[in-house]
Amino acid sequence: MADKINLLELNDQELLIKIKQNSDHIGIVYKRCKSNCIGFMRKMTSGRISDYELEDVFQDASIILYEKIVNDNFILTASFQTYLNSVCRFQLLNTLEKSKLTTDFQENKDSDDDENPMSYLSTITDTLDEIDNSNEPQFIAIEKGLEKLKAAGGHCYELLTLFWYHKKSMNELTEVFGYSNSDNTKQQKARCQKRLEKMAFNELKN
Amino acid sequence: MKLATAILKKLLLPKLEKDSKFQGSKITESFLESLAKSFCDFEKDTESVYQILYLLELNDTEKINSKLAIIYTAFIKELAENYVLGNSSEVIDYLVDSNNNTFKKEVEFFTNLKNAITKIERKRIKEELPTAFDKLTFEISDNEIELAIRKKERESLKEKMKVWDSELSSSDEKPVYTIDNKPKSRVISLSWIQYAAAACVILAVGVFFFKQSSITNSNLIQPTDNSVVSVPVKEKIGNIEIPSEALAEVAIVTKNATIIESGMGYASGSNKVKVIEHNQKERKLSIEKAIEKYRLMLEKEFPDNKVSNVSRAKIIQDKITSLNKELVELRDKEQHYKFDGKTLVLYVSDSATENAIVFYEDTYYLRRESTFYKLTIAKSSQLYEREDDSKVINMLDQIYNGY
Repeated sequence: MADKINLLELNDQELLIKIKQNSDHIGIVYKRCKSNCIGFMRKMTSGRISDYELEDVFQDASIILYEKIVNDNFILTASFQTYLNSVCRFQLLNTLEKSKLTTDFQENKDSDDDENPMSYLSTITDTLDEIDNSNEPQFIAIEKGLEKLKAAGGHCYELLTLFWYHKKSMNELTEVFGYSNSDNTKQQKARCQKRLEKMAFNELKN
Repeated sequence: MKLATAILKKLLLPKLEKDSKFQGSKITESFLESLAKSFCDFEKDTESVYQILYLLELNDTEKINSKLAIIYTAFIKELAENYVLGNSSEVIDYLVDSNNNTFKKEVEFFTNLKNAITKIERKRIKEELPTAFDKLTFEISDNEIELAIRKKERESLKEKMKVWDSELSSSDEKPVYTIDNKPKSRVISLSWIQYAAAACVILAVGVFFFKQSSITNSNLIQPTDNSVVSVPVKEKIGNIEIPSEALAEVAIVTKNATIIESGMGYASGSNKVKVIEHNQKERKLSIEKAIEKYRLMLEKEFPDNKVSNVSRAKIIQDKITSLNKELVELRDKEQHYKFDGKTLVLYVSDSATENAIVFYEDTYYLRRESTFYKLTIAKSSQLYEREDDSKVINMLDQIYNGY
């Protein structure tokens, strides 16, 4: 229980470092900001959109935040709450008809008071990068290859995931997997990629 | 340019260093830069790469030249990966502008790989977000772990007892010691030690009462050796009594070998192969001994091939033939193994210090006494296939030793 309290007491900058180390820490932001963000979106849409849909928007926003953090070019200039409100707002503006939004939010009346849980910044326009080639045969084959790699057990799937999505460096991966040095880790990663390439090739042939 | 030259240096230097006349001082930044530039067009123009390498005045430039195609592929692969990761370099720009096909294919693969992983991971994170916080703070006490393991072990022990009960009830009554039909040995986990101790006490009490009783049975003889079991001294076939020879059992040892994955000697704890080793040494020796005894018996009872009792001689001869047949079968078994991907069955005469399983390039290898054998997954027995390719052996050694 003490750990639970300690984690919830972390400030945003401390949390940012924790999230970089372990993706599960995004769960703290999720827990901390969810109800205010959903409340913010409810207000923005005057209850015209279901909570289920709003939750989906909030989850996407959390992923946007995570991807921004691990990409190493993220500087937190507002609180996580303000950032997530802003990302959610931008998503709603892009996807919904304007009639469903209340006037305040259409007219970009920023409220950057970080203490206010309803604050947002109209300058924040981060979105989730679309994966547009997901219907291509090679993409599907690689996806299936990854599933097989995961099912096969071992380290390959986790190694590739940590490198390509969670942007872990060779040194970090060396530590995670207990390899002797980063050159060995690099070699291991190359082998895993080759293994996946073969699996994907076999998928393409079938 | 630095990115490309660094990659090239890492790929090329280990090969160059093997040449007796190689001078490290000749590998300057400008040398690497010109080589990297020429290397981009290696598929169209190999000559200019060769000419640059001749400047190094190596003892055997041809040897390096023969490896250039592999180095080129690795070089392009690394540049493509860097391009997809968002790193830039003059050489990468050149490859993009020149529409290099190999580079394009690699970029396509890495882009798809990155996107596929992103798609899967986004889905996973989204699903796990609501429970991520609880996952972070989830803890199980040692006491809880101990209780859970105890419960699980008790249950599995009960299950095993049920199986043994069903085996006991389905089998006919058997003599205390049999030659060939002795139940196969089981590996009992140490966590059962408490039950084993209880069984020992019961057994000891049983032996005590047995010794106290006046009942004697001339057919029951205590085992004198761990592997060789004494048996009723004489065997009766029809009206003919033939001394019977004791044969040792095949010793079966089951161990779990962790699969050493293709790299670094670091293995996943979850991936294991059950290795069942049938050690036939004692059995073979006892058969050989028995054959010799029967042969001497024939010589003694029927000297100079004068057979007075044809049936008796035939029975002894048949015994020799059947033992010889088993000996041949046992020897033949040692040439084979059985492997279904999860269980490896070996028939051996000498126990190895270790049976290691190495997984490399989608193939399982058995490492036994420093020799690697390629394993084929099949229902039937397979002949041992010793790995002779020095490159593969080298790789397997590296994986095994965790270099």
